[in-house]
Amino acid sequence: MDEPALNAAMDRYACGDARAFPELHRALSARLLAYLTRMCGSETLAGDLTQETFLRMHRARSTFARGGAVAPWAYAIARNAYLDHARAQKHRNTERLPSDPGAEPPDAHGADGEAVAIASETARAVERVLLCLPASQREAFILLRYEGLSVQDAAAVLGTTATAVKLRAFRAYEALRAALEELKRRPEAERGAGRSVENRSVEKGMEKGDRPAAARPERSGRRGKGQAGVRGGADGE
Amino acid sequence: MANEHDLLRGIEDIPDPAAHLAARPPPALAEGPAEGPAEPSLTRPARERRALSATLAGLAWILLFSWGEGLRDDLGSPRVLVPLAVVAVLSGLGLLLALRPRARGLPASVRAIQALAVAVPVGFLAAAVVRSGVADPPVPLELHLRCVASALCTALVPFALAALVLRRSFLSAPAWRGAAIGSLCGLGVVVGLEAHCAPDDLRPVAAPPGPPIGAGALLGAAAGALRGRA
Repeated sequence: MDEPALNAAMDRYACGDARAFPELHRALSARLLAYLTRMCGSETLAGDLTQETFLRMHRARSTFARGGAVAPWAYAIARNAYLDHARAQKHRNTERLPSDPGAEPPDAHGADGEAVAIASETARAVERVLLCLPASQREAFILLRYEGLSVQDAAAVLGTTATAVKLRAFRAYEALRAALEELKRRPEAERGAGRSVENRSVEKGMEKGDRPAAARPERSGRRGKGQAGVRGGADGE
Repeated sequence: MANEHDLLRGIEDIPDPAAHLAARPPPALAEGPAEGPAEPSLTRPARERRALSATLAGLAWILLFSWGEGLRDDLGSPRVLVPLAVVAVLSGLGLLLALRPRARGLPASVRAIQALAVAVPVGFLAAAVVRSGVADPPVPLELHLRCVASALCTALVPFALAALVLRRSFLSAPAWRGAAIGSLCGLGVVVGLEAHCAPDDLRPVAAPPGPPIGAGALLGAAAGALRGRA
């Protein structure tokens, strides 16, 4: 569904047309799920937060401005759902169980298999670094790089200025690029052991006062194969 | 060290750990929910009617309360009427600025809201200092306290109505937005207050109208933080 059609659907829903909701759900659920997964590091939790987001969108539908854009509006509500969850987690200080086990390792036989394995490891490295970044940098980077929002839209979602968004995203980008360059430099044979080196650098980041979302594993409602390699817990702000 | 301009060039090189989710095809219409959540929620037309009713009710309260306290004799004179009209217009414009959606339906920028939240009390205080001196003999404390109580009672209903109408309205920075709107409502209350209170002393000019603006900012920030986030 293209953006004007999506905005028109939200406009109808804001005016009380319940038939527009399935269209919105269909168009936005995957995007919001991906966004929340990147934010919190767990597909299971992101699924719950996505449902929460749609409920909040329903409650706040009357505030959707006539002729407005639904994507940044929905992302802002999703972010609020994530923040409220993170704060509640911090206050409850709940005991956590190991998170989703992650995807099965790809078949490494053959050249294609090797490329897939490298790509998978790179993605996991990015995920680990993202979850170790301060939440403000992580969310700015995610909105610009993965969700494709403009700097102005991202600033509106985050409740900050465009300059702050660019600076935060740049710092996140620097950290990620450094991690990827380190990964490339590391010879293949050391990659297995190198993962423990990366974990130590993550811990060093924690000592400096960073608030990694992956610091504690998270209670998982389901375990199964085929889930993406996404781990970690919510991060409070 | 790379500079900020590298951001646009290199950012696409960072892979996406959740690409498998973003790449999923959208669910068929039949698989998703057939309709929205069962919980009732306001529609936009209903909310607009509610906001209009709340605005009229708030204004009516201010006028009625002021009239009940007894309007000042010189209310019709330009010396009194013009500043009140200016304050009323500024309060209305400020609320429009704070609440009106901008491009793509998104709210006003945080900087604009922060500037508003600070400018209203500071501007009012500066105007009070310019307009008035210190009375001789001093105004009794009892009158000060009575004026402050009157100011807070005048402000009570408009604040409550604003909190009710704007619940779950703010996409971001809810505390700042609440503070800006609270202080602007307080400024509106000042109009009602000065319609019946005719002090010529800096302290009453600053003090009784001050609480609605200050309390409005604080209560608005609290209400925004607790219940304002969408």
